Amino acid sequence: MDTLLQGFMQIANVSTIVWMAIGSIVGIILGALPGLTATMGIALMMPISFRLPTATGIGLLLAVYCGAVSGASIPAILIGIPGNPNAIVTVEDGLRMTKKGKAGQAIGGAVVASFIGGIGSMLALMLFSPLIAKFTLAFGPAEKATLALVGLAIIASVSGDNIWKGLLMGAFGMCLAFLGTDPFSNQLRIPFSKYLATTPLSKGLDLTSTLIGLFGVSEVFIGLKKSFVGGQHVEPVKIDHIFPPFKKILSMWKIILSSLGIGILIGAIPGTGASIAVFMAYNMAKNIAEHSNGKLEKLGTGALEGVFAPEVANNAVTGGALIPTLALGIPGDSSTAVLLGALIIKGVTPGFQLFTTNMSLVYAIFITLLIANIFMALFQLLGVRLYPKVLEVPQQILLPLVLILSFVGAYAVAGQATAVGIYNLGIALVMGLIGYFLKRDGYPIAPIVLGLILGGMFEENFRRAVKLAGGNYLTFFTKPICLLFMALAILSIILPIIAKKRGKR
Amino acid sequence: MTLFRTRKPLPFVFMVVSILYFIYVISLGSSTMIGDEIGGDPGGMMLPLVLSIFMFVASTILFLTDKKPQEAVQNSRGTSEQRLFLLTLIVAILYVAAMRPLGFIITTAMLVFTLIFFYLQGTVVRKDVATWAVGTVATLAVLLALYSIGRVISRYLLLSARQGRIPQWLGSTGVVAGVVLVIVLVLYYLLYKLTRTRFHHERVPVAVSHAFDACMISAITTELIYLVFRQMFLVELVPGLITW
Repeated sequence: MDTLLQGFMQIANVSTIVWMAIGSIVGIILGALPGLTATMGIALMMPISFRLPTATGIGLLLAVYCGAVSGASIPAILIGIPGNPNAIVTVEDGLRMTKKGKAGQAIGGAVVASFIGGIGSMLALMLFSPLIAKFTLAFGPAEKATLALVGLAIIASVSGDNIWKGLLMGAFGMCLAFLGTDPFSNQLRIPFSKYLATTPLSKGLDLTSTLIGLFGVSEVFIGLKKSFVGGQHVEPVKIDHIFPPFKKILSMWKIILSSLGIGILIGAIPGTGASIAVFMAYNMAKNIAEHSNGKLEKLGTGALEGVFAPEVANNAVTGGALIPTLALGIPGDSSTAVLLGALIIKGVTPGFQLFTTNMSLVYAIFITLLIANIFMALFQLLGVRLYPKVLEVPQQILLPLVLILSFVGAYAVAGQATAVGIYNLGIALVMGLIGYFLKRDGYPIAPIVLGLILGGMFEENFRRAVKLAGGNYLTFFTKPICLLFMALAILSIILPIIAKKRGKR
Repeated sequence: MTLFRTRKPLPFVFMVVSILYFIYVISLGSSTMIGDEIGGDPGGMMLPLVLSIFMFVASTILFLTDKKPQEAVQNSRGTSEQRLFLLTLIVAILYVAAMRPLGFIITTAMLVFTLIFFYLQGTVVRKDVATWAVGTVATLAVLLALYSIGRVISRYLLLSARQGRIPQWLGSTGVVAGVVLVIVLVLYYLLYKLTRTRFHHERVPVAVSHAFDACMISAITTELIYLVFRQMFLVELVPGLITW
């Protein structure tokens, strides 16, 4: 009880509430703007979060995360263009509801559904993450090394259309993580060390600047590829009767529960993410509606059920994806990968240690997730008539603003050290260009991020494990948990290949 | 050569990178843990070597299997898009390079103005350069006016609070930033309202209207960034030419 109170005290201040409110609004706006993702929003807000106390900073990032996932439904419902892939299925019934003159109920329904998904997944996070974290108590260096390998293998295998692209990106991310100094001997491991030894690069790539480059700067170059479309023209629609009838919500309990379960489960599997969960939830809801003896409307006809299912699922992913992030240090999707990076930079090490030595912070994170969901619902409902206006901001103005915010973010991480700040700008620009070329050719970025984050952990634990075994590499094959993890890693690579081959047939 | 024409270039780039990385790791030599006299540490070279070999294998497979789609060969970027891409790249490089001598405020305003102006124009052509140059000067003038007013107010509040002429809380960083923010926004709004119709008129060339929009957006964006990061979070932004 004391730790819960301590956790509450960490966020019970005006600064946390104000920053979370700002984060929530920024998240909703970013989510609503087509092309701007939750991951980019979190990456852009990271430098601000570093200037705040740990719990407040994490609260800010969680508010952006929840807001962006939910905000994507606004353009999906009003103009049929999802703000990001999380709302791709919401278009199906959301747009039809708008055409039927029920835009208000569709947006209101999406908000209520997002809130239910967010709160439900938060409860799952509170319940399961300490239990999973307890499991890591038995982990030694060998288990930790193979766990990092599992995380990398899963993310590499499920993100992108080609498994080799994912694996290559994971390996590339690890190579980037190895830049800097050897963790055990302090030997410099950077090219042109004669010239770079005295620069900030000798400590390796700055994680925040790298993430900002990969997710922020690269988007500007990608945006230029698409021809400028100006702002999205939103036909004036009447937005009224925002709250769906309570009776109607109750009648959809099966759809809500199944979407919630799917969202949490998919979110908890590293590398999957909301875009998969929404399709599964929608299909399940379709099935439930068809067998409801006419009690529920048929999906695909402009039914509230068709908005509820994906919106519950995509926000349920937020809490679900945080389960492996906090308990194991393996992120559930690219957004939580960036969140994990922010946690690590803040000196918070996920896993059992976090749950035993810093339980008050864990409680603070749970409470901020609750507040983030409340704010997400509140600000989306309050601004229900204003957010459509955001969609009219043209890309020509948005892209330069994204670029400058990315640069300022990378620079600001250095704080008082201006020379380091300028190096960070260079890193963000170079990584932005690399990110652009990779995205252009369909290479997934999430494995790079995971390689960057887990590369160091993998190397340290791998070398420690072999050293403890007296140089015996077979030590990994003598421990049951390592064997389990290695089997999981191999399966995660082989199964998508088999599934793809079957699909081709 | 046909192989290169039908294949995507990135896997080849990664093949080269992995070979270079392999050579680099070998040349670096292995280092072992401090105090590893009895042995057992695989050394700092092992994992990078394994990764470079893995990257080479993966990129070779991709090079051989990931073919360029036919339409992609024909549908490359248009000239305008190419020019805007190049402009963005050059301006971004110049921003990083010029930050130290010119300072954060000047370079930020110029970057935002340049990009918004040419993006709104839709391309980069020589006839727009004169409008761009005038717009840049106007942007810097508006920004410096807003910045200077903000600085005077900030200094007055900070100094007065320190000397006890006004309550201490009025001199806290958050309150000072908040007061400056409100005053700057009011002034900006008035300026925008007074000048907007002059530049958004059917007789005014489109390029000038775009320059006006870019000027107003870049000036307020830079000032807001300055207020948040310098005055609220105390980030040391390079002063450059602006020393006051």
